[in-house]
Amino acid sequence: MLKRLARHRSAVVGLIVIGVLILAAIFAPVLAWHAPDIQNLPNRLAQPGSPGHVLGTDELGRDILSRLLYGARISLAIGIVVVLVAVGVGVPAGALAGYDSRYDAPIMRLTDLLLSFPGILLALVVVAVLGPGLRNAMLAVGIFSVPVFVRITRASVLSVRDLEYVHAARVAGSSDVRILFKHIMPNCLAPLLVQATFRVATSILTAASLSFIGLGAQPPSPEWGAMLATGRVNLYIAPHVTLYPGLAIFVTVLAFNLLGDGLRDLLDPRLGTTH
Amino acid sequence: MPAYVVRRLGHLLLVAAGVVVITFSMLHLIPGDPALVVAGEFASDESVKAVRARLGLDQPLHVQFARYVVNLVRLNLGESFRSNVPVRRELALSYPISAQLAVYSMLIAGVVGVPLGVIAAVRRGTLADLATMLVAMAGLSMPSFWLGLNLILIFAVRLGWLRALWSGALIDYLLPAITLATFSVALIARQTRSSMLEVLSQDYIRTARAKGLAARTVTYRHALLNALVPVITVIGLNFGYVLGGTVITESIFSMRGMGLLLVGSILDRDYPVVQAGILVLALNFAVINLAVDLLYAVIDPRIRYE
Amino acid sequence: MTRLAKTWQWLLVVMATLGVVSGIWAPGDAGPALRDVIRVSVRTTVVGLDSKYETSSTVGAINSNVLESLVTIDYDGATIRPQLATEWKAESPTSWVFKLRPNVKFHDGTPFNAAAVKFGLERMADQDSSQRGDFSWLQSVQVVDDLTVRIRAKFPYAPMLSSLAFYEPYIVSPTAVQQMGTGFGQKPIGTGPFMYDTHIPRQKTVMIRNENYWGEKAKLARAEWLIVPEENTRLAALLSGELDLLTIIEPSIMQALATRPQYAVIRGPDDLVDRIGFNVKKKPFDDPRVRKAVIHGINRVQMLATIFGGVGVVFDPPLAPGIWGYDPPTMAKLSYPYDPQKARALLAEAGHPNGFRTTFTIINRPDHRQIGEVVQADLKQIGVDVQLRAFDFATVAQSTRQGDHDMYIIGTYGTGDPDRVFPEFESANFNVKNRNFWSDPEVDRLIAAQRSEIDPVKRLVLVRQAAAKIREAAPEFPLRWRRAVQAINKKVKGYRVHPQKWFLPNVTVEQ
Repeated sequence: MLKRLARHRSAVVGLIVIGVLILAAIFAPVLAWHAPDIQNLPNRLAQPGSPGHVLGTDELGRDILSRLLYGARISLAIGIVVVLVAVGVGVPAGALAGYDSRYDAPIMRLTDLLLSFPGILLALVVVAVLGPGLRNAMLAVGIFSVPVFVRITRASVLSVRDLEYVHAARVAGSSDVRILFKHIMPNCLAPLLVQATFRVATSILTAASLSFIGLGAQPPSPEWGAMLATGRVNLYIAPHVTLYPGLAIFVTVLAFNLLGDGLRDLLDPRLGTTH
Repeated sequence: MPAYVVRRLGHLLLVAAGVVVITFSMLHLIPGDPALVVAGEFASDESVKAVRARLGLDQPLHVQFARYVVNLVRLNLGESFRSNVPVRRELALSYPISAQLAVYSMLIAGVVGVPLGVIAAVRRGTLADLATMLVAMAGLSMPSFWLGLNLILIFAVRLGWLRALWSGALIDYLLPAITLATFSVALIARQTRSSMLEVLSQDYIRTARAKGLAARTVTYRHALLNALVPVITVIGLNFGYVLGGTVITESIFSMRGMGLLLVGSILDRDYPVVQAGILVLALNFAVINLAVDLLYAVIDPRIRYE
Repeated sequence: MTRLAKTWQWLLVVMATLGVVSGIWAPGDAGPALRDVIRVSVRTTVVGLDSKYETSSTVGAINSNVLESLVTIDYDGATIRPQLATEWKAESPTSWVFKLRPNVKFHDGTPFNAAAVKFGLERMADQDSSQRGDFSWLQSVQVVDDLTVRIRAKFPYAPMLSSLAFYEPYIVSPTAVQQMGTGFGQKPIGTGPFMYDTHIPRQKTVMIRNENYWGEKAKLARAEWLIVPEENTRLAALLSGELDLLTIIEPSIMQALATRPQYAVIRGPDDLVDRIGFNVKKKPFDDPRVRKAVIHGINRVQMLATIFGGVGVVFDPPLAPGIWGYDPPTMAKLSYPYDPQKARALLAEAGHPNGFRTTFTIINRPDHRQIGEVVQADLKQIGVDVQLRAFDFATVAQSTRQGDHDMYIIGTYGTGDPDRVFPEFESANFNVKNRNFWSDPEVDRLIAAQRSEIDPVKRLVLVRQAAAKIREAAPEFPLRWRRAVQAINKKVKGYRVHPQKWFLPNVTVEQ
């Protein structure tokens, strides 16, 4: 019993943290003492605990706590958008590839092609073509997250496709689409859910990396990765400017990872990830 | 077996061709004129035109593409628009750095990640399991540049044990490799744990446990080896990811690897360098994938006939 | 005696001998030992080194140790000094005669002479040279004899000498250029106190002492220029001793070093001005009142004190205090001080009582982004809604040349002759140097007139008239005239900040 409980505990912790994050995102306008983009240049780089600024101010005098709260919205949005794009493209493709072997080879080749492109460079090119901004950056990250979902869906579909009851349904005259949705897809939900949770985590990290090279959220957006990227010049004199966004990212990503691990253990402890 | 290898090589060529076409198209879709970058921001329109003609950019796209492919087949990668240095030399300067970085970071990740995963699997459900997985996941949860900058602060500035600037010596790869490895450690640990769990729950393990100590040791070793197979896939996949995703680490540690070269070249609209660089990285990734799959096929005959 | 005791005795003798011997050979009070190499960090990447094709100031600053020109600028950013030319005289409004320094050799051993000067100058004016615009006045270079050249301009050109000093056309070895072809850009051959040894584009450049230099030899044997893109790493490397000199540093680095006595932050005049321009072809910037309103709406003094760390000078367009023709009495007091009330009044007068929306094109770099954010916040206060458009350099260059922009940031010169700055306001230079697309026929006439006015007194009048008209129209405005700030390990001696160079021949480094 202890085993299950231990794993579940960390997943529960993750869930609680994510809950807090969602609340922070929804209630940011109420919780924040200042607007996130109000500058106060004379009071820049104020230490945490200064009057009116619990976590201090950044290099343009903006309140860090307020920016963190509003940034929670952006982080959640990043996770949702990326997963939606990746799932929206990857799952149908994977299902098709698994179900109908005529499409298997071409879809897998396309997936391999996509996988061959180094992620950040692909994002750089996509953003260069479409223009900078968080939306296009998320699109790029979504695109290079597609292959994972294709593979998982395909593997799941393949593992059930030839089972007895599916066969029976086909003989009974059910259309392919019906078979897919009713009998096969429920099988995929578990690994997909787990992978989607992990993807939210990595997409938040990837967004931070893109901000590092200036490709992610554009100023004055309070995206946590952007706060890290712009604040890091002051690492030696005002470490708090990067410490708090860094902690926020760390805690959030860890929470999603814990949740994902817990989900996986819950749904099938022997489930190997087919990265 | 040979038929399988040939088929997979064919796939590889297909992917390479696809990469070449897509890279070429995307590059020409990006706004910004390479000739302007080379001629200089304040160059007159005639100068820019002259440079464009010199670089062959005034030809229609299909002519440019054809010429590029013909040269590629002859293994002529062209010269950098920006520096006129042969692309081959630029790659020769950058690729070894990135490759070494990727290899060392995967080594560290493997050496740290596999034992962590084994411990977590063997002591499943206990505090040790939780602790090791938390440690592993810490690496998965922080932006790499944060870790890298702090490593420099601690080891180069405060302690003075290592250098802040990369200078080519083997030891200079340590901090950047650790920075890169933290992400992969978690993935490897996780995969090791779940494969070990899967293997450990199988019948022959239970039988071995019942049989006694000697049989157990032999079988556990067998189990570990079996469990490692999917881990190798993760390592392989991650290697490709790491090879292309090193730009931030290279920037922080001042290493002129493929990441900085390619990002700089994309910004400079240096088409020949970008095309060659991305092709090299893609081929790298495909070859590693192939090697991993072949390894799988050797170990598990069922896969060959897929 | 026991064996152990014997060993100890023997050891004692050896140590004593060593002690005596080292005492004899140890250097007395010979002063601190000197290193033979200096390591300098560079922030912007360096790909090629041939200044014919490279326009970045970084390349010029590094090249100043290896390549030389006829005349050069002194540390004050104004005085012209002889370098490869020893004397010069204006023959007529369109020609100057230069006497060249004898017994000078290029790094490859070939002799420096008038033919080489002709080659070096003319290549800068070539069709494919990136510097062509700066030498569009050049008509011809005539070899009078081996050590004399006559330089002719296409029209009476008052700033000819100053152009040669500030644009510094490097005299390079013609043999080397011909032999190395496109490879010359990886290892230029000149006449300077250092010569290039190795160059790895985007990583490192190494130069070594030129033992056959015509003047006083460099004190250092070697200088290494390392490209370190990350600001924090540069600071870390300075603190760990791997770097001796950091060029161009952020205010935060200045602050971080203030508490560390082994390092000094040094300052000096800089050649660069950061300015914001308006595309007057786009509404509402065709109305000068709107432009002035925007300038009044931005708190440049506060920006200077905060995000620029107090480094630099705020001034009125178009001439910086370092430019000849700058008039302290009239120009010291800002014509466009920060005044949001006045800004709003001007906007209302121009028909925009509720402000308007516009865009601000910047390069996707941390410093530009910071400026963009502050400008955005300031202008919001007067009702102007600014959307930031941040792209990479190539896209911005093309976009602003085509006139797609509304507001944009660009640099200009802060020292030297006003003719370095005036082309940005001439109608002939639309979409190349003049990205404001602003012109005024009277200003065009004044600029052309001052360019050809040889009498400095009369020229000054014309310059100030043109400057006054430009200031009144305000098609652009400066954020600040930069001041060069560098960080140095105090073991480095003899280094002075120069507006265009990172000049090392007089520098020594203690152990």
